[in-house]
Amino acid sequence: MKNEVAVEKSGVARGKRRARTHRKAAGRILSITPPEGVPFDLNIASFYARAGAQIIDIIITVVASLLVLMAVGLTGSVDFQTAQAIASLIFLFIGTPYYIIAELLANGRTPGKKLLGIRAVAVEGSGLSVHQIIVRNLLKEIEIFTPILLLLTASPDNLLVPLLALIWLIVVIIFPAFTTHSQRIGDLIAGTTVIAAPSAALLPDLASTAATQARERFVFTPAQMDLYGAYELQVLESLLRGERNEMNRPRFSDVTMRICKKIGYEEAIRPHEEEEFLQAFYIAQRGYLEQKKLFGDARADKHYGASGVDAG
Amino acid sequence: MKTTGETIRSSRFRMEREGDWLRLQGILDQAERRGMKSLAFEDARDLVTLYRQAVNALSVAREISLDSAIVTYLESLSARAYLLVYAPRASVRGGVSRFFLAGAPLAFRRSGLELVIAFALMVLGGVAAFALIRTDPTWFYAFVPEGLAAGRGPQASADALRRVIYDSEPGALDQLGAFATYLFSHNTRVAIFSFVLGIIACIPSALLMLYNGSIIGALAAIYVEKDLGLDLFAWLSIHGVTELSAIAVATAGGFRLGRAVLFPAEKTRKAALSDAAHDAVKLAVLAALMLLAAGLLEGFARQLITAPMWRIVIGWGIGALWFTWLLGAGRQEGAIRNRPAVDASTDNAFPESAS
Repeated sequence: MKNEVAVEKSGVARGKRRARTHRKAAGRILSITPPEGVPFDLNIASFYARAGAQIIDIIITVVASLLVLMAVGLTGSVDFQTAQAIASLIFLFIGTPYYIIAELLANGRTPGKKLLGIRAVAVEGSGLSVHQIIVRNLLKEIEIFTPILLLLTASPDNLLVPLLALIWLIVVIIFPAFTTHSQRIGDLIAGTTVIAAPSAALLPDLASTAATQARERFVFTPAQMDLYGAYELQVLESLLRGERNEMNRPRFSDVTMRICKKIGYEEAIRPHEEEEFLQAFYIAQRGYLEQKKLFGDARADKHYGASGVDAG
Repeated sequence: MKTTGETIRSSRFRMEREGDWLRLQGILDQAERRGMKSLAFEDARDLVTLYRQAVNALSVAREISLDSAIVTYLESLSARAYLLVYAPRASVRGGVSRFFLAGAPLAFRRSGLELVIAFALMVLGGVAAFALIRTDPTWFYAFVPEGLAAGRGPQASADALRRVIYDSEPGALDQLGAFATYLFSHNTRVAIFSFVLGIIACIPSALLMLYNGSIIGALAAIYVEKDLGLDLFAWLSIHGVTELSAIAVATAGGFRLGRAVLFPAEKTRKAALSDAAHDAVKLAVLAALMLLAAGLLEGFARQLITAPMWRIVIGWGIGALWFTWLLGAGRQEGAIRNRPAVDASTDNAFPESAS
């Protein structure tokens, strides 16, 4: 597992080969190469998801701490200062071990992370190690919880320390924006980051669901299919996969008209046939392009080839 | 030219494999929701095979398929399966026992030089402060902050000083309170800061050690002047042996980080730092445990045991136990061979630091 490489690419500047095949929302992407050698991209969790998960986890630990504190309080009365010290002590003992054990047991997912669909992973493409989990959570204690506790001690005659704690907290929170994998300081030292858990459903194959009639009704010549490339095909795919409603009708007729004009399809398409036409064209075009690709003739988009003037 | 769904390569490719993908997806759903242990035998057995097939299919689909839905789906499926297949296998109990049997003692012995320096700095600070205050008692206020002195000072009477050392037994909850306040007291903060700030080229940690030593030296100076030296020694011994060692251990962890920053050898600083972090983190956890033990000793044992002789015996006895554990555990051949790879220089330093 030593020679794995992790390549990071931002959502905008991507490799040329796959530039068109991925049209994910702009966001940071972690590309992991597992030992099997086939890289895949993972979306890095957004700041809001991470903050949300952290807040849920804090609520869980604080509620647990309060229950313990109440149990302690029932045994006798204590003055405020002592109660405060006991509370922060209980919070300390419930806090860090909670994160470490939860991430160990659930493979990088604390209850809060699970709820918001994010998880901690190692950036190198190996599994999360125990060491990494401990480091990232021990440092969370120093990064986040100690300053928060210091902030709570703020009083009119003691402002310097809470102020420093506040500045530190702000630095810690904006730090991930400046690291390539959106890592906080603890992540950077542990070599981990937090990703959005991948969850894509298997969509039906457009080529097999289309009506057989449509395929026989509309026939295209190779010359007509030479005009578009993979990019246009996938734009068409996303249009066909979109919701079938009245909102999309105008777009169907618009696209149908443009395609007919570009490929020189003579027959006029009636409005209720537009979707069928587009499906038939999609299937024919995909089969044609895949066959071309098989013979080493991959066409990324309509500007394929020497005829760069053609911009219809 | 006519192309039907059956003749499109990507459709055929998908039809042939779809069943396996959906099975893998079902296994993943179950494992993610209810854990690996809930999987049936056949599912657990086939998980890795199905994962490899999915990864292969992804690789092929990227080449031959222009159906972006398949590629997106396979990417997500492989990623999910990868995260499950390459999940950490360590159990919590195994991790804890490994830490106690080998991790912490070996990290402690690999950091021998740093530990010696940390202790030496503390002693140096103590001796310097002691000598200064013996010549001019007003130096006391330079070393000991007001909150920490708590009425103990050059002007305090011997009686008042004695009362601090042998105060009456408070109730159980007050002890818990004392324990809690202790853990957020000065020394815990010193331990945390000297660990964290070690990364800034060791300097802040070294200063903190000197300063911490000087506080003890200052206290010692005023007590010795009132002929209460032995009582103070006993009072400090019962928890101080553990506590000051904990601070030294935390500082040694900080020094390990600082050394990686100062002298990364042939590695990059980042790589050296992440290597040093393996030991440093173990030292930090060890220091936390020792501080906890010291807190229990200070909150409970010090109030219950007032005879100086017993205070000294218990304090140093517990100190001896720590050192026996840290110098003795993890000596089996197997345990040493299984430790995580560290750089050659610390490997070589290991036999000397053990002595």
